[in-house]
Amino acid sequence: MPEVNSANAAEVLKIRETADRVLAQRHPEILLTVRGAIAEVLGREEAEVQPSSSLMNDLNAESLDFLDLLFRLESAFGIKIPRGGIQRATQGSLTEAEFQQNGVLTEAALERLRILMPEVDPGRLQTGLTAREIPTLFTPETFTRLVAWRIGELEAEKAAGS
Amino acid sequence: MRYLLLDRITEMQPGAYAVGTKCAAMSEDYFADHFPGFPVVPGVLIVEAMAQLAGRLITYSVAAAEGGEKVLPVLLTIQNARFRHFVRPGETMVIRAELTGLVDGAGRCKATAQVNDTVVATAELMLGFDTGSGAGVIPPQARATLAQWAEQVNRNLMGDTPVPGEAKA
Repeated sequence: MPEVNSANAAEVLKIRETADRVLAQRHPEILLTVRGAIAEVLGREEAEVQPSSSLMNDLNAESLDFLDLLFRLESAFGIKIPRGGIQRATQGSLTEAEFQQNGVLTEAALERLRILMPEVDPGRLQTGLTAREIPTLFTPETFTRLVAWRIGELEAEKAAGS
Repeated sequence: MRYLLLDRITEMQPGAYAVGTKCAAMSEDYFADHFPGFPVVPGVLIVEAMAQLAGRLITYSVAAAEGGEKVLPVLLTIQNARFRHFVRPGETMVIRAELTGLVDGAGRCKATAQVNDTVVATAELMLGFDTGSGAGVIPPQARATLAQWAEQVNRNLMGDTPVPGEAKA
């Protein structure tokens, strides 16, 4: 876990911890289902969808495929990925200008991504990365984390409601 | 517009479902060639009718969920389309679209077309709209014209069909 000493980082740390907690118990199972869903969406064999394959660079996914994948994950896991939820998680309380300058991610944005996406090689989350390049970082592990975060939130809601 | 494939939207429940009708008149031009001596509605046009209804449902659903500018949905995927029975001239299709999901930039619907009590076609459709990830984004220069056109088509289709939660104009 990276050292956290800013309010910005503390905000995403909660999401990271929620996902970590679920993954500690269910990582292999969630990853398997996610890889299966990706294989179906992209018309690939499951063996081609490796945990760290870049969906866009290695498997030729397009934005349309990501949408299809989100719907499949929602029904496969019984979760909701609320509209704007992913953007709220990545950008948080940062303003547009605090998040990116002319499309290039700020240090504050990179700090958030390093916490939210521990599966990504930190060497890629460096100065110069653009907002448009973020989807090229997505791998089956990324979506496994997304699912785990939503499962964790759902469990917390249920616990609070009961 | 030749390929407006709904005559009327009879029910609109944002966030849930919509129902519309389409009468297959003998004067539809496609019956001449599809097929000579055996006129049936082309399956792709039934899917198009479903997509048009699903698009309206998504527009209303997004507006009900968060207000703001009306989104313009475009068809992104057609899955599990099944054409179970022929639709003949003089028959009225009742099309039903159910919203099964709404994420950033897209909505998904299950659609059925029925003639009387017979289900003639079913499909699952995904439509994208102009916010979110980029799929299905309408070029900015076309947006105003399209929005105006969509509004006009919508008024004709909706007639006095009530929309829960929407103030009557």
